[in-house]
Amino acid sequence: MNDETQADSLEIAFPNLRSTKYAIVSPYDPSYNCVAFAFADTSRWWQKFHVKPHYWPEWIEDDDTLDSWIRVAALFGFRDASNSDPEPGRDKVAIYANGEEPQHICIRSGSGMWKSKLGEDVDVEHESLHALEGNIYGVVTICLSRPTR
Amino acid sequence: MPTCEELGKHENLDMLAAQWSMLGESSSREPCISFRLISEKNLGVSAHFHESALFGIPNVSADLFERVLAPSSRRSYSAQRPVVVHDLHSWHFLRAKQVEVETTSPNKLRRTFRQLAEHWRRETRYVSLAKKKVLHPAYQRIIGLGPQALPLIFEELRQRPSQWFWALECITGEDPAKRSSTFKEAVEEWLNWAQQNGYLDE
Repeated sequence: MNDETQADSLEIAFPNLRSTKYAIVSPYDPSYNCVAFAFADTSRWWQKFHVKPHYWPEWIEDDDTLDSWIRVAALFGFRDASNSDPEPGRDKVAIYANGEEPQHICIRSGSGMWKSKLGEDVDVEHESLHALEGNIYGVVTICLSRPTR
Repeated sequence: MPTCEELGKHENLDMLAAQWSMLGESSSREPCISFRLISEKNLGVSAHFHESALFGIPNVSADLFERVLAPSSRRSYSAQRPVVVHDLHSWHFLRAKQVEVETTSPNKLRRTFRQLAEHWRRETRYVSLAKKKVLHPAYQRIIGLGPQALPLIFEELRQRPSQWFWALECITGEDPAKRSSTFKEAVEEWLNWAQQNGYLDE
């Protein structure tokens, strides 16, 4: 799929992208999902699923609650953030949810753009969190931060 | 065959398992249907139910299945969609191994598979949760195509890898990728298995 077609598909799925700055930064890759990507693993999907090669920290019982995703983020040093604004010296993650069920997570380092892996599709950088809000991922519900590593 | 304990402590499932156990013992010679339990919490637990046990459960009846006459005159069931047991809340039942598979022409099968696979891919390409992807109706219908769809799934896995592992495990009852730790390793393990078992040319 060429970039133009790819962008068209993205903007149909995420209409808010049309009103924000974004860029496709890597091609379709089904090897990993957004959770894996946020925590720097691009070799497998992170989810509690018995089918190999899915991974989830075994001491975290659930994978379908906001609390379970927050606990995974905490393993990497993320704690409550007062806001989602760019902040030199701090990494931030934002969790999207439909109701109480988490659907997506993205990460930003310092004052850079947010970075997201979209399902099994592309990686994108997007200026605003609002860009990916909608039917698929719901709305941003929680933002966490840690000192940049 | 799992025990009640293995099936979990879910109240409704306990009720189901207990009922199955009671009726199953008294009808041990009846046809056995294999199902895979699907729930938000416990994907992939396999269970076997005797016919009378299954249909003895309230709100589960034979009309949930399309009965087809197999060449051997044995009864078989063609469940092309997940069977939802309404009084058991979130529990769904999907037949994992078909007793018999309706014969479908190769061209029709290929066309059907392509349509379902494309529909599934289009609607779930941005979904971040594998469990949500595999519960999509088009994916479930592909599982319902049974073993005849295996060459097509393997070809798809080779050409455009995606989350086909669950469907393959459901249909074959095998998991050659159980020791793989990366997505790419799992793809390789499944393709090797397909070649060894004659589902895919080298």
